[in-house]
Amino acid sequence: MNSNNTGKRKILIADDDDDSRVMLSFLLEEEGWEVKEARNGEEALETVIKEQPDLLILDNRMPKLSGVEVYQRLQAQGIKIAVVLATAHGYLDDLASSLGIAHFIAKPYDIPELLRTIESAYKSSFS
Amino acid sequence: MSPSEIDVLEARRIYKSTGAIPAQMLRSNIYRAWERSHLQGANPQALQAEKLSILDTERLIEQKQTLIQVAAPYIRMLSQAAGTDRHAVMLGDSNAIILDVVGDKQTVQGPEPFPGPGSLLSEAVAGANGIGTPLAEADYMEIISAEHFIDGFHPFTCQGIPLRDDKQEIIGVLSISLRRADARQRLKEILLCASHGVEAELLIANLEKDVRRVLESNPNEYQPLEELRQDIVQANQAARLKLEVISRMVAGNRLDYAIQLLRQAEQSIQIFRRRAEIWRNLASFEIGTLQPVSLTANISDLVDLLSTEAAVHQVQVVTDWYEPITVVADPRSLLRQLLHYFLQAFDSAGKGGRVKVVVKLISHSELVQISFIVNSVFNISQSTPTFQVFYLPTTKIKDEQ
Repeated sequence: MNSNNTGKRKILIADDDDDSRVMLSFLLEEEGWEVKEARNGEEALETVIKEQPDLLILDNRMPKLSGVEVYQRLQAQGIKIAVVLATAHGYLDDLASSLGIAHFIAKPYDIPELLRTIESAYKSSFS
Repeated sequence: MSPSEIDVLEARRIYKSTGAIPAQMLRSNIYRAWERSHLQGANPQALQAEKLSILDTERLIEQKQTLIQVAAPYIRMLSQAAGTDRHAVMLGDSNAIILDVVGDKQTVQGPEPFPGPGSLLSEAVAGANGIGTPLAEADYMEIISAEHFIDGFHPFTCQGIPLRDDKQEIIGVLSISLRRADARQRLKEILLCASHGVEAELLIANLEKDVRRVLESNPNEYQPLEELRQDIVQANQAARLKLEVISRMVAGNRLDYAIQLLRQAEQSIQIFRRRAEIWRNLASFEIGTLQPVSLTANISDLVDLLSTEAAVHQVQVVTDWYEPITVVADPRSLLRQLLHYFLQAFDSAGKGGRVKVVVKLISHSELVQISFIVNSVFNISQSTPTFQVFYLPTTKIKDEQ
């Protein structure tokens, strides 16, 4: 999935925590991304279909579909999108590998680390 | 040069020539620091700090790896906020030995010897300074240029604050040194917030240990506690993101918005701390003693803690009582019991349902009735919603008069 009308790379942040979403949007916009936001799993799914972002930052604990459910539905619908799973899950490695998600980061994360993970996921989506 | 700076220079001259510290010429906490430095034999003429051997430094850094890793993002953010000003952000251990330093290249790697890992900055060795003095005072301290006890530190204005563990014991110190004295004020609040951020990260490491312990000894209780832990970590994540934005804004001189955000970041850390404290009681297997406990405050705390859980289940939670009510109970058992009822009620209410918790005193008795009233979308029109009711003995707070 790659929509680039503005010439900017487009990223979707799916997180139910308003503060985190707003701050992360600010930081990613500074990094040159066009940012879209989703407050719950259902919105995330709708926004992926509508906005066709290049990358999805996916929280797990969300109302109206968890991150895992969002990812599974995207897979079921054959929607290919680079995903970074960003959660405080106690066994994040196991969760990510059980879903086949290669790029993940444990909360609380540091921004440079997140940016590296995002870049790596974005580049991998072309290979 | 302000009169106080003249006083400090004059105080130094007098001290160096007579050995007496003129108290009236120094801020009281600086006077105390000089006195401690003098009594412990620090040399005011020294130009640099003493250091551990390379081997001892490596050993120490190995031992303190957790603290160094936990503090690293906050040190980076502080350095980012200092921007192009000449500066160094330091992490020290509880003995005032430097563990990590980050700053601009000229300061940290320049020709002037700036204290690096392994440097001994206790007041006994290096006199009043931004690492040793906050530890000696057990509080935030600022040491402005000539207020440093040894000559070698005079180009810098330093601020430091002790870092504490969950038992309030000091485990280290976070400090920032700046060449431009006027740059210090805009960094003070960030330093304080960052120190609380580091302390919150250390608490998270403890929550991880608690989770593993619960999983090993009581797998049935693991899942809800693990989910609550994830929700608690979210508050700290929000604080960390705010600090990241703040540090970028301060570096770019967008100070007004940064100050507003700082208050919010501090608030997020406080929320995290309060929730982590409740969580620790929930995850504890210890049986406490019967004592007066605020039942209504405990329920309010749990409602707050369970806000994400309620949102995930799409359940509305309502509480109902006329006045704060205290009961006699084991606080930890009570909290776990309440959590158990809440989670059962969420399941029973289902998506779109409502859970109402009513607390009321039973007249002519010493009992309090706690009712969990569940309305699911399927029974919302029925006259008899689901009930969970239990009773606890009350205690009346005696009037002190």
